Amino acid sequence: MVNSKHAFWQAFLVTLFVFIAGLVLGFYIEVSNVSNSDLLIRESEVELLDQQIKISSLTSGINQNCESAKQNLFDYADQIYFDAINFEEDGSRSKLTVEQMKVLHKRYDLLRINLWLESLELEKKCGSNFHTIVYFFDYDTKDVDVKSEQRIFSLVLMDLKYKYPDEVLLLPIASNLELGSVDVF
Amino acid sequence: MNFVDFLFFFYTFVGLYMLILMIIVYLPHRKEMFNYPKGKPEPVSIVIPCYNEAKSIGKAIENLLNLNYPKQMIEIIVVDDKSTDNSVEIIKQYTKKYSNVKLIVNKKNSGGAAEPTNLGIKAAKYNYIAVADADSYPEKDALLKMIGFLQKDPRIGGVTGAVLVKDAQTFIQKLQYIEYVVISFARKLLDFVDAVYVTPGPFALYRKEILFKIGLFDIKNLTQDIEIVWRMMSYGYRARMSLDTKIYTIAPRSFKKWWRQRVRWNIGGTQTLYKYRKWFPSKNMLGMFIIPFFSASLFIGVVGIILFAYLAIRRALVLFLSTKYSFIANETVTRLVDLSFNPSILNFFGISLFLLGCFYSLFALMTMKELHFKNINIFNLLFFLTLYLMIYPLIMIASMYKLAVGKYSW
Repeated sequence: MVNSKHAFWQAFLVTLFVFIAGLVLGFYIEVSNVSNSDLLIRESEVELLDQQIKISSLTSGINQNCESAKQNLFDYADQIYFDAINFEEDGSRSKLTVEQMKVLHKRYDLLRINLWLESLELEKKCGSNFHTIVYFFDYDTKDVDVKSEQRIFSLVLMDLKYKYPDEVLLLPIASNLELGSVDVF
Repeated sequence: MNFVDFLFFFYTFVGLYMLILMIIVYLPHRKEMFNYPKGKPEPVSIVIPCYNEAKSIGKAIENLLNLNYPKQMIEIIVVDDKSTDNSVEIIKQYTKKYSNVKLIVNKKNSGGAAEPTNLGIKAAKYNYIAVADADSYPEKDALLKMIGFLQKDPRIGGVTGAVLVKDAQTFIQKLQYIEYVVISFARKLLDFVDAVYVTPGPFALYRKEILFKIGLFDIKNLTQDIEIVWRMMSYGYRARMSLDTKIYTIAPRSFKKWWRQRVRWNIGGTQTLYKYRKWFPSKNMLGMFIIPFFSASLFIGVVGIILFAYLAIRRALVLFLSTKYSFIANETVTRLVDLSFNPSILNFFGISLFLLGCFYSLFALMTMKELHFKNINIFNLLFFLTLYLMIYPLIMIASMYKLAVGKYSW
């Protein structure tokens, strides 16, 4: 009646198989997500470069229309902002790895630095009819106090941006991602 | 992958392994679950340790006297452990009325069941010893369905049955009702791989010769019914399970009593683990499976609850500080955008494991034909599978504390 000793290693092998099958499936899904994400990143990059060139051309004197230069600057900032939110959501859905998220953050921080410089340039050329708020924060901090404080600061600044959409240029930049240009500022 | 993810995968692997093991064992034996070897009646001495059991001892004796078993082949020895109620007077009424009912009164209270049980075994005149609790009621055919296991195989030292809750009335009793059914089902599956690791106190049948050979019940252990089986296994014997033998027992009525009972079980289990630690790892079933399985069932939840507490406290702290700063900054406490509805792959793993656990419990209840809707409704079942099981690690932490400071008794 008692003859099921083999059940222990059989169960181990089946569990291992299920786990490995799960990992392979997970890996396949991740790879497919990564390729989708890569495509999204590339598309977004093309659009951002397009905007960047447009703004550079506006602020460097090719086009002298200050109002449309300002509008393009704000559109560019908005696009960076919403793109970043979309990628954050992808990150929380595990579509993007932690490392991918970090690289993306670095990229967006650099773009914001660039935006900041462009806004300064525009201010020189056209005078100041908007406010630039640069907010440095710690990315992925483990300090609960800092985390809570940053959460509130981001809400306050977001409120400000929603209240004065055409007068406030909001540039949140992570200060702890080891970017030389960010360290300079 | 960070430490939390790794731990989560480890838990998933262990949970999945146990489930697959149960399926692999169940499938080829599904038609044998309720089988038992037919035995012929042979004399049995039934030992009942008793301490302040005035409310139930009379009924327990009567129930045993009414077993479907030749009356001349049953001897009932009640060992009173210096009760302070009128248990002894009640037992004496039965000793006067029935010549096969005997009473032994211990010289002083031992504080446990092992010592009075050993006294009863020493006084027993038959070769088969049944040990029964004073508040347990085996079904009439219990002995007939159990004795065959001992008669057919000389390496079997003890036989247990399906211990079920009698007259579940309170909520905690109804939860225990589900728990006992699921445990009985699992224990029968373990029986097919020679891994029955306990012959629960409510009713178990032993071979006297083996009990004497291994040295009777350990009086220092709080779960002598677990320890005795482990000792048997260390001597090369083993225990069997007769699922068709139903033994009804009175489960603790209140949460407090239930908690006390579980603390005792955990302390006893830990004592047993410590005593047999050197058997791990060994080719014996004790070292190969029972010790790791038992350790996991005791301690894996503790690690889980510590991790859960850490994550929960951290989140609560962030929430508290955020709320504080929200008030200072005159800002809303939370917004819709702060809520994340995107499940990660770990959430899916967790949900899958939970559903598999539900399925397993339901399957056990259906197999045992114990779907009495008075005790088992969807709320009780869900409560059992979530909050009830989550209390286990807390009991273990309390047990470890008591064991460490030496504050424990029966």
